[in-house]
Amino acid sequence: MAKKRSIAKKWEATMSLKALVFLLVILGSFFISHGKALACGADDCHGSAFPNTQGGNVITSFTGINNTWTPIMTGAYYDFYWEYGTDSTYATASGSVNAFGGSPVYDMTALQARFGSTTGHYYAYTIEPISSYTTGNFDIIYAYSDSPGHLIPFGPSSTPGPCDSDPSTRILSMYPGDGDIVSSTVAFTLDACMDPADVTGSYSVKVTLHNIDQNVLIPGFSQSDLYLINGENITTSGEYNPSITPVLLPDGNYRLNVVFEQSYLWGLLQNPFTHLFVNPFTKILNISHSFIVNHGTFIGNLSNNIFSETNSILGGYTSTKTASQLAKTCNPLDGDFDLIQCLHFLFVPDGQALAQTLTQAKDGIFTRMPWGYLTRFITILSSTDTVDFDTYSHTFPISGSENLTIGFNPGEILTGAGEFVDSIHDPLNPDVNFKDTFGPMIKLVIALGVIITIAKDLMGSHQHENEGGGKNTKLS
Amino acid sequence: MIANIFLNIVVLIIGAIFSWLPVVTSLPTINGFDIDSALVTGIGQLNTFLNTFWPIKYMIVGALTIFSYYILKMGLKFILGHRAPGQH
Repeated sequence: MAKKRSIAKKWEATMSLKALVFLLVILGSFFISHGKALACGADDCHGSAFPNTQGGNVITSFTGINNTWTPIMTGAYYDFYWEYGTDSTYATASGSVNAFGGSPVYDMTALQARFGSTTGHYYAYTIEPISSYTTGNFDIIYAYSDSPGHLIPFGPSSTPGPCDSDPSTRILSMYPGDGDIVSSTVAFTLDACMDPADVTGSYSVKVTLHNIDQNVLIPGFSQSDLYLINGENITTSGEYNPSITPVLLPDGNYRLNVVFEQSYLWGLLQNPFTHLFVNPFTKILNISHSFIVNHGTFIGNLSNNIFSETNSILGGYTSTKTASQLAKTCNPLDGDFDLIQCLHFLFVPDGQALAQTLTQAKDGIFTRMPWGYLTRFITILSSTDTVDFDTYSHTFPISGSENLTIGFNPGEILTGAGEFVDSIHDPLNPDVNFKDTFGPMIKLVIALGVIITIAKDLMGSHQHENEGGGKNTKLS
Repeated sequence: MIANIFLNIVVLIIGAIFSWLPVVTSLPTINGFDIDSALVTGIGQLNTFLNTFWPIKYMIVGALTIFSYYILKMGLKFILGHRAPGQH
């Protein structure tokens, strides 16, 4: 029995020793890992080990020990784990901090990171896909912390671009914009999204510049069409920002045309049976922007107008104009088909376009001699531009070589008087000045005076002679 | 849109017909007196004055409205003759 007890004690002692060693190992590993993490600074813990190749969010704003955020993660399984590292080597300790108890999740909508302690230092955390990656982005955290709640980002940082949330092929922006007036050296820019499905179809981009006035008013400009980019194949999906050399252009009207089209030959070679019946003129994007370099021409402006409106009516091509959206109502195959709206769109003049046409009529026709003098006269009279008053001065000889100069500046007098009037405020409401208070009253009195004068004249115009030869009015 | 295109074409045709005429950019100078500059300066100074003394601006607008009414009336009399309102 005693022997059994001694064996049990020995076993207990052994187990206690083992447990102590195990505890020391655990604690030691913690301190070691802690020490390693401390060595991981902003400079040496660069994030090259975890490149943010998928364009996910870089989360840099979590504090405390429990943090929840909504990552953008769809279409794949992900695990969340923390990592710590020495100067250049990262080790993985998967499972220490896990999403939802360590189970990989599909299509994460919320994630909670639970840190082990409110004190001490935190390490770099990251989220990575652990199974077949299909589509979508994942959030990645590149950061370390030297104190609770103080997160220091490091490594490559990127924010999700417009193509991440909506990868469909489309133009995000083009410069010059539609209707822009630009100076002679035009720095063209194009920002577009290319859908991964379109890239596999071998699409190419063509950016062409047309000079509308070339055959009309600008001598010496011989280029018919200037290909800024001609048939450049787009091989990668996502945001597309081609480098386009700036061009020095003479004054006039221009049209910038961007076409994303599929290579018919490529499609035919890839799958002849499928692509044999594909329209070789298939374009997924065809957008035109009309712009003016310094000064437009009368013919060029009208030509652009007609082009824009015709393009809107056809409506088959994607256009940045809202009229194109409206034109879709005329397409019986389109989901937005609406006969009434279509008829309205076709036959009721658009107010903005009408105003533009009238402005161009004024510029192109009404400014011609001799009626142009009347237009110029009306333009001057209706101008709201202000001109400062002239200053007057005179020098009087006093005696010998001494002179006395007296100046008179009507502008200063006017400004001073105006400032004085504006400085009079309502004593009960300092924000209301003299003009705010009395302006409407004076306007009302003058308007009433005008109305009474005209009304009196109108009533007097109906006066007629009575039998005695005198005049009386209808009221008499 | 069809109406807009039609108007554009009309303006284009009329513009093309008169395109040979010189464009007036300023009023002429007669005997060294630049009418354009004088008017621009005068109207500009008037605008400066009226912006400062805004009640006068209201009065001038009122007076111009009455003058416009009389001019309209004169035009009607000229066009309609004795058929104009108040005429015999």
